[in-house]
Amino acid sequence: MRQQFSTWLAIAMGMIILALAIIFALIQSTK
Amino acid sequence: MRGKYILQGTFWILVYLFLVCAPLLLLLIGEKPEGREFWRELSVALGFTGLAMLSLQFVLTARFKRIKAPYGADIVYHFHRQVSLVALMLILVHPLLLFIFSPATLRLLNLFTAPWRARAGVTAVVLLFVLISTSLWRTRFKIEYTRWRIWHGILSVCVVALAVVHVILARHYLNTPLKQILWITYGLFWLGLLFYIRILKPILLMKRPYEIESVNQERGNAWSLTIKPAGHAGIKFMPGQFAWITIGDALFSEQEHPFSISSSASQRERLTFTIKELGDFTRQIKYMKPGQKVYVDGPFGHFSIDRHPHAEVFILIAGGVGITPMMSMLRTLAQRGDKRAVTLIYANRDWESVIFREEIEQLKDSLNLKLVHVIEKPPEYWIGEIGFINQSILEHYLPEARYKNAFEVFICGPPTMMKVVEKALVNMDIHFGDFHSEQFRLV
Repeated sequence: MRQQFSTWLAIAMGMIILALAIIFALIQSTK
Repeated sequence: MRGKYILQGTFWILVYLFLVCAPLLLLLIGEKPEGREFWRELSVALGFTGLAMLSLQFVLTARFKRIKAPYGADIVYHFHRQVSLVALMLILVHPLLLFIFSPATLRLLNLFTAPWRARAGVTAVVLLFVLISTSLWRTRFKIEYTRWRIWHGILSVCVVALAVVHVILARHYLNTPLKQILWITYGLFWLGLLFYIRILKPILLMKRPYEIESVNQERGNAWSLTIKPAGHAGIKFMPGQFAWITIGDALFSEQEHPFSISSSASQRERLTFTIKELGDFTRQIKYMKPGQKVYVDGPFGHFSIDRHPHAEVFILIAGGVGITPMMSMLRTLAQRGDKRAVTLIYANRDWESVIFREEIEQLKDSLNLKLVHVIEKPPEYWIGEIGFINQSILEHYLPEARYKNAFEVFICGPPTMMKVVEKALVNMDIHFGDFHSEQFRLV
């Protein structure tokens, strides 16, 4: 059960990082 | 106390996110290189964040007590494992985007003709595959733990080093001296971390050696290894915590393994680890001799009654050698003269292999202890609980008052038992924050 927490945390991290990477690409590519 | 750990846990999650995204911020500082298509910039961003995640894997396993305190060491290791898959996905999407939107880049896969930046990148990805697959399926591939650990360390360093070479040779984002300095600083930070983990920490450990005092056989193929500090005060720990033991030269030895401390936390002058014969290393414990030097890195773990000073009642649920952290708790409570109510539900395969059977019985005299043995294959004369720990047994022995903070439950044992017990506790509406577990198999 506690391990499920770390699995979901890893997935959430991945989603947040992907969102930030998309923001970075939007900023950088529109320059 | 619980609120403090939640705050600390949230803080470290935010620090992790910041460090993963730090390369992207560095890329945007100062004069930016010419912008390219969206998908190419996205590919670059995923590559950089993936590299930062791989670098942070070293921090997650570097045994920084402050990072592990809010979650427990087993959860940090589990996160290390799960997040490596997330990093692998990001890193794989990095070249895939290039291949999809610019098929000409597929030629970079030919290592004979590709430029060095591509050779470094492709080799890093291949090694990353090897690194992750040998970790996920170590037992299936029958790789012995110590050998796996050595290669895991070597491959990890190679993957990150090759990825850094790939970044440097690609050059696109190292266009100004300021960025070059920032990236060199970022790289030096990781090198410094590696130096601390592999060189400085072992040297510090070697300054605080321990000597084996005795090796005693217990029931159930277990051995109690008692060590005493040689020339220093020893470590202060909470009952239920564990430590890493290194045999031989701390600087170069890869024979380093985590074990729960089974002795009382009130007794710092010697530490006892009770170890069941389960693998190549644990089978060697019985051959260790008094006077032999060992090194102790610890204590670690959140699994302790001392983290719940408000508790009036403790429920300890152990399976087999999972009794070792519980034994430390029971011995500590007895030495402190603590009369708070304790129920120990202890499952074993057979009556003869019940580790600490006699001592636990004796502890009933000095503790307010209710003891419930659950035996899978009991002797003929057995009149106690039979089979495995299940919801019906827990319903019977747990206190009827089950409101939040009514009692604290500690669970340690084989993974299947822990899963069954945790599910049963949820079904019984025990508050999630009131039960605590720790896996004793970290890798």
